[in-house]
Amino acid sequence: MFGAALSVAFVMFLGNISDSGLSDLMIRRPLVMSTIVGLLLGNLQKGIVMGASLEVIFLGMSGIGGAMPSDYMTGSIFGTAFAILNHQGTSVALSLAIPISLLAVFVNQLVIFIRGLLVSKFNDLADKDNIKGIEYLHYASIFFGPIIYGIIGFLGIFLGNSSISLLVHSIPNFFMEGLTVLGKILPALGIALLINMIHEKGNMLYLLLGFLLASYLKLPLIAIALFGVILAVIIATTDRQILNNKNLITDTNFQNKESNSNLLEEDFFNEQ
Amino acid sequence: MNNKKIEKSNKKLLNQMFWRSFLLQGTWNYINGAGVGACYMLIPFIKKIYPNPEDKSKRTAALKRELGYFNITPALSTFPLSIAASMEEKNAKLPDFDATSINAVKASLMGPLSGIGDSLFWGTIRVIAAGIGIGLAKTGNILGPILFLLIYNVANIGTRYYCLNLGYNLGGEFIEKAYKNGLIKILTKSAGILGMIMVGAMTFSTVTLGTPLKFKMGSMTFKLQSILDQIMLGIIPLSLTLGCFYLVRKKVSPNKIIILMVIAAFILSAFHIVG
Repeated sequence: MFGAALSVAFVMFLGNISDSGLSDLMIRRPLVMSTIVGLLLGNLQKGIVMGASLEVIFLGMSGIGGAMPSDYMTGSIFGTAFAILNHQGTSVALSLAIPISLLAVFVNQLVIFIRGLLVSKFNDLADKDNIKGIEYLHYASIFFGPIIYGIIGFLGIFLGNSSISLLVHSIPNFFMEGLTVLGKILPALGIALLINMIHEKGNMLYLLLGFLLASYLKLPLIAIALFGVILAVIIATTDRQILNNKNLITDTNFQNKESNSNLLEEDFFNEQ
Repeated sequence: MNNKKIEKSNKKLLNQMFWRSFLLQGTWNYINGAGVGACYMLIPFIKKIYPNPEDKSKRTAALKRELGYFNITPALSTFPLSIAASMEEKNAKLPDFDATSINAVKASLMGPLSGIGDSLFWGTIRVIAAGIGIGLAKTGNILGPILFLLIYNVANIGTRYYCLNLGYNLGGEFIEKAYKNGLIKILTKSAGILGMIMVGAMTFSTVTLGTPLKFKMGSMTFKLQSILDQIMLGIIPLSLTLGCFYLVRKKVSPNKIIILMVIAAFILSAFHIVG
C-alpha cells in the first residue's frame, strides 16, 4: 500500500504543478490523470478506460483558480486509484470520483487563500527593489499547492484504502443509482458555467445550433468545430466589410491596418 | 504586420518571457490574479531597461505596476505582456510618456482576450481534443490521452510563442486603434460564436439524462422518453443545462446548485423517475 500511496501522491503533485508551474497544459484533466494512475498502479488499460468515462462527466468543468465547482482532478485520481486497488470496474471509479471531487474543492480554495496572503509580501519586495526575492518567493509558491496535494494523495490512499474497500463492498444499491444519476446531471453545471464565461448578447442562438448539430445530425465534435470555424469566419468577414465601409469615410489609413487585422484573424481562426 | 526588426538582445528577452510564461499561474490568487506571474515574466525587460543602481525608484515603480491585477487565458498571456514590455521601454525613453497607460492597455485587453481565449481554448480546442481523445481511450487505447495533450498543447504553446513578437511589434498604439475601429469587438464576437456552438454540441454529448417512465392507456403503453424525443431530441439535457445557466446568471453559487443536484439526483432515482 505504501508504494501505491507514493504513486498517487506523485500523480496529485504532477497534476497540480501542471497548472501552477506549467500554466495549465491540461495534464490535470481526468483523461490524463487516470491514465497515469493506471500506469503506476499496474493496470494501464483500466486507467485509460476510466479516464475516458471520467472525462465525459467532467468535460464541462474547467476554470483556472476561480470558481471551481468541483475538483475533478482529485476526484478522478482517487476514484481511479481506489477502483484499481480494489479490483473494481469503471462504475465504482465514477461513483467514488464524484463525491471526492465535491469534497476536495476546499483544498484548492485554501491554497489560493494562502497564496493571497503573499501578495503584500511581494509588494514589499518590489518596494525594496529585491528582484531576486520576488523570483524566489514565486518559485516557492509554485511548489506550495502541489506539495499539499501530494500529501493528501499519500494519506488518502495510505489511510483511506481499507475503509474505502469496506465502503465499496457495502454501498447500498439505491446509493449507487443516485450517484449514477448525479453523474448524468452534474455536467450540466459545468456547461452552464462555461456558457456564463462565453455568452454575449445575441449568441445564445448558436448554442442551440451546436446542440442541434450534435443531436439530430449526430455529427462528431470535430465536424461541428469545422462548421463552426467556417461560420465564425464568414460572420467576421461580413462584420469587417461593414466596418471598412464605415472607416473608409473617417480613416484613410485603414488599408495598412487591414493587413494587420488579417494576420490577427488568421492567428485566431487557423489554430486547428 | 510592420516588419520592424527586433534587435537580437530583445529577441533573447522575448524568449526568456516565453519560458517564464510557463510559471504564470504559480501565485494565482483572488487579490491580484496572476499578477505576480505577469511581473515575473516582465522582470528580464525591467532589468534591461533600468540597469543602473540609481534607477532604483523607477525600477520599483515598474515592478509594482506589473504586480497589479492580471488574469487571462494562459495561451494568450504573452500578447498583452509583450505589449506591456514594449510600452515599458517607451516609458523609459520618452519623458512625457504616461506610465498609467501601460496598466490601462493591459486591463483593457484582459477582458476581451480572455473572452476570445476561453471560447477558443477551453470551449473549442479542449473540447475537440477531448472528443478525439475520449473516442480512442474508450477502447483502452493509449493514443487517446497522448493525442488529447498533443492537439491542445500544439495550439496552446504555439499561440503563446507566436503572440510574443505580435504583441511586441504592435505596441500599445495599435491596440488603441483596434479598439477604436472595432476589430477587437469582431474577434471577440466570432470567437464567442464558435465557443457557443461547441458548448452546445458538448451539452448533448455529456448531459445524458433520460427517463424510464411509462404509462398505460388502455392496451397501449407510452414511453415518456420517446414522446419527449418526438417533441425535440435531447430536450431534457438542454432544459437542464439552460436551467442551470439561469441559476448561475441569477448569482446562485455553484455550490448551492451542486447541493440541489445531489438532493434531486437521489430523490429522482429513488422513485425511478430518471435513469
